[in-house]
Amino acid sequence: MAEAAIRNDQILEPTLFEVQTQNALEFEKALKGVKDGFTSIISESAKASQGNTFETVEDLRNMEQAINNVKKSADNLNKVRNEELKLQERLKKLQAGELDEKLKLQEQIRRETKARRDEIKAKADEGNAYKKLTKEVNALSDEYKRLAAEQGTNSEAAQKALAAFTKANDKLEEINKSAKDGRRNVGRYRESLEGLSVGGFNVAASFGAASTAAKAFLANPVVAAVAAISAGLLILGRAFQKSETGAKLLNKAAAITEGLFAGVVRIVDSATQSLISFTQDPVEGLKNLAFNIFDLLILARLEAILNYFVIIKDAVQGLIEQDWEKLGGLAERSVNNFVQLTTGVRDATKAFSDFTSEVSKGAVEFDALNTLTINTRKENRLLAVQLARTTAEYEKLTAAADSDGIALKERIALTQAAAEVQKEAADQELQIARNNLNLINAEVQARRGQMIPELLDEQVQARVAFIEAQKNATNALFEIQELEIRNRLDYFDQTEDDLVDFRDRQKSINEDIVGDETATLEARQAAYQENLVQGRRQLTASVQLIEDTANELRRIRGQEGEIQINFEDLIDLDPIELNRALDDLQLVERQRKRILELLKEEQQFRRDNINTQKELNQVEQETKRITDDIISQRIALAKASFEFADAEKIREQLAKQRRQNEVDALRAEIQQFEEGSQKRIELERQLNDILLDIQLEKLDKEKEERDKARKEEEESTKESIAKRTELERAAIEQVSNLIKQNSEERLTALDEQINASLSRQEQLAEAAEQRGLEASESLALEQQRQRELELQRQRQLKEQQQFELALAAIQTYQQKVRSGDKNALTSTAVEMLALESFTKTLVGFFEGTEDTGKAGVLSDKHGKITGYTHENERVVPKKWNAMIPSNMSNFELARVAQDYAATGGQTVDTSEVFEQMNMQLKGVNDKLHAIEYRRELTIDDVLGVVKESFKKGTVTKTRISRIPKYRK
Amino acid sequence: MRLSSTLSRNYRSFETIPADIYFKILESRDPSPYLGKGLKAQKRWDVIYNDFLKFYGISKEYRTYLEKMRKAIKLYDQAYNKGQIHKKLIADLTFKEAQSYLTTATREDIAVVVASVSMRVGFPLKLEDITAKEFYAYLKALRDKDQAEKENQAKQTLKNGRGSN
Repeated sequence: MAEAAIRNDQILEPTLFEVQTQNALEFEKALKGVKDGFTSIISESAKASQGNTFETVEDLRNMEQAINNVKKSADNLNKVRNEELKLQERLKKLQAGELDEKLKLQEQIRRETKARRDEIKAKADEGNAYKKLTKEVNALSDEYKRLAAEQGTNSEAAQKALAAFTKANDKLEEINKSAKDGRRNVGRYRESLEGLSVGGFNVAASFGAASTAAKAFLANPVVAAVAAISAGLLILGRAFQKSETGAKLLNKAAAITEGLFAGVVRIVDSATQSLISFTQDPVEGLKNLAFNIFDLLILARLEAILNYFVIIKDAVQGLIEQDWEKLGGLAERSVNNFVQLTTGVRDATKAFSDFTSEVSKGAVEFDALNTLTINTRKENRLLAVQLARTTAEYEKLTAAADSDGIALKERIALTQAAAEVQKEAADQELQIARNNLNLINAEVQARRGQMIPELLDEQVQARVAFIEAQKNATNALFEIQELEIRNRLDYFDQTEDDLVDFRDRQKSINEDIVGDETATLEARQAAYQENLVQGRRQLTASVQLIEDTANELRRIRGQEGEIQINFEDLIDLDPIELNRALDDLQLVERQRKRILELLKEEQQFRRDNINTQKELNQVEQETKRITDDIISQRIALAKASFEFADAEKIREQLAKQRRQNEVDALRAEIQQFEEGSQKRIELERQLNDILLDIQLEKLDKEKEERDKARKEEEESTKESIAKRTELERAAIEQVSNLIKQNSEERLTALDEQINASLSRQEQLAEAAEQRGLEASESLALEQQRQRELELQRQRQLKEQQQFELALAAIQTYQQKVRSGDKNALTSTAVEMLALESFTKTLVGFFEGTEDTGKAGVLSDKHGKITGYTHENERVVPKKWNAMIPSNMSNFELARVAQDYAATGGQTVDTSEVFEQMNMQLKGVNDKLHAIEYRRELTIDDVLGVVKESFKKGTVTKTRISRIPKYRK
Repeated sequence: MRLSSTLSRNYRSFETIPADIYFKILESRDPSPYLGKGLKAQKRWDVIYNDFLKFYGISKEYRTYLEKMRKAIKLYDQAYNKGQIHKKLIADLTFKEAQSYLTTATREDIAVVVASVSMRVGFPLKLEDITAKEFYAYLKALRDKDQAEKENQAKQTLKNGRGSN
């Protein structure tokens, strides 16, 4: 069996890749346009931002705008870049993979073609009686073999199975035998039709007029059957022409054969198209197929085709056997079959007998048809006019309803009116279609028995138009319903919005009052209660609105029963239960959402109420605390003024009282919350913090006081020490000055006396030379006096040195006392002794010399430095020093030497000198201890000076000095 | 009585608007609850904010943010319009750096600033009781003082440095 292959152009669009490539290029162009747009935005933003001074709101806004624009543009440019990359990749794939895709498609076409062949073959096999019979024979054979094997060949069951097998097998063999010639023509039906001309009708030509698709369809088994019939017809035609009756009958049948084949070809053509479209789009294919096989007559025709098999078989058998009688009977059967094939009427006799009466009735029916046509067209014209008017009215109403300047209620009324008009128009349209269908049906009825394809086409078109009109009418009804629902929902939205607005306004006013700290507590509590009532009222109204709307929608949709929303029950449900409950209510999505919003709002409302209540409680507590605070402040002030306390003390007392009030208020507030609750824990933490602060402040204050006391004590001690030290220093200084002055004066007087003595000695020496002994005695006396004066001078010097030593001891002692030495006196004594010893040991450092010269540095014979001296001093060696009494000072030694030199070796008793020196020192010490000072300091801030007065007895000395700068 | 409730009709200028209302608007970026509705509110806010800018100016951080952003925008312009595409990365980085300077003051931040200013001026400031201008006047005085101290310190440091050398 030849089968037309599926071509590329049947599945693959030849320009598929070109189109895609073109699309990609256009997309690329569009992307470039977008890119240019974004880059120009960046450019403009850059220009705008460069001169910005950020001084005004406008500047800042422009800058922010520029930043946003650039950010968005940069992001979008990134996206564009990505898209470009993807596009380039795609283009590359398209260009490189086109050939590959084509190859793949070819392979796909090959596979699909094969699948179609297999499918068609399977379908053919399924409906093939011959195959069924073959299968049945095989099954019976197997059954017989099984029974024979199990029960024996002579068993009743095996014999029955054998009989059944034999019967079926005989039938099969008979068919095989009869179809022997026919098989030879299978696949060559075209050729078999070449010679067939029945009643002037060229069968092959009618096939030739079929479309390409129909030709393709000729490959299927049904068409193969037609080919077989054609082959049979050829045989029959020859056979019929051999007898007069047969020729006559054949001529009669031939008159309608042309219509038959034309009809068959048309049906086959349509069916083929359907099958082809079925492979491309199953849904569409199925629709087309159903549409094309609306004419049930085809079934009868197919039955007639099947009957031909039998006729053909008998005809072939008759020809082979030269049984002309049988062939004559076959001719009659064949004619009957032709009749069935063309009209679908089984009984040919009836068909022919009715034909005459039908023809006679035809004229009458045509008259009636004409009348019907005129009336129908007239009615349709009127309907068309009405439809035009209705449509205009509809347009007018919809335009009015679409206007923005009308209220919702008016819009609802207009749209409802428009919907009614639309329904009317749909009815009119339906009536026109119905009239047309009736007319065409009547015409077909009048021309029954005649196969007029154009008429059938018109009938089909009229039927389609009618179905379309029915659909439009249904749609109109549906649209009206939808419109009504939409209007109702709009009304719902508007009312709901009004309710929400009202509630918000009321709530806002109340919340303002509740939150207004200037309002009284009573007013705020009243507002809170009002808020609660308004909230409840709004919620009830919203729920009622949803319920009413839902029931109204149910009524519009024709649903029975009413729903009832129990909002309080919904609040406590968990999400799954809530969903289920809402599903049960069958609400539209908008209402369902609104219910969920209401639930959320209600929960929030309740939470807000709790918070507000708490806030008001806190305000109450705070009010109480403030009142307490004011009272305590008044009490504290009264008390403070009574006690003449200073402002600081009052402030401290007030702060303390305020803290205490806070603590009391917190304690009271804590009691309002459950133990272990979050709020209570928080409040307790606050209370603890405050108590801790109080405790810390107390400790800090105590510490501060202690520090202050200690500091004052330290200052006082320091000041006392400083004063005493200063006094001591001043006393010592004064005594020292006094003594030094006295000593100096005395030394000066002595020096003057010595000089006078020396002068007199010179005069006496001159006189002695001139006057002899008397003058010499006077000179000796004068020299004696000079020595005495020298001795007094040395004593005075010694006294001064001792005084200086004593002064050093006192200063050392004072220094040690100041530095905190507890054994100041002892350590001073030790140091003084050490100093004295040191002074004494200085001479033992070197061998001795009569004059140390001007070098000052002393060295032994080895060149080693042994000490330092003043200029022109004498150093006595050890062995000579041992000769000098240990208690003799250098001064005494010098005096002895002087006396020795003066007296020529006479010694002088120095004990008296020492006695005098000791007495003088004692006198100094007594004076030192007898001095009593009184020192007073006065600071004059105006003049910026310090007056320091020293009083000794009745004498007062005043010293004025500037205040050091740092004191200012 | 709170300033914010007594002057509710007079939130029209930087000198009269209560500080708490000013900060609320600044925080929410929506003047409509206090200054009327829609465009009118926005215009009134613009007047107030312009006064603020004249009086106090923008903060150092915000100025830095704007300057950096300007730089980033210029770099983007160069990258996309001048063919210097390598500057895009620098622009991205500058953009991110600029964003790091942008901080949004929260209610807590404002509370901290108020507490700080109160501590420094020596008496408690309540935003409900003072106008925005008053608050910024304190802030400005403190800022100027800090600036002067810093300058003196810098001069002193310079002087010491020279002395030691």
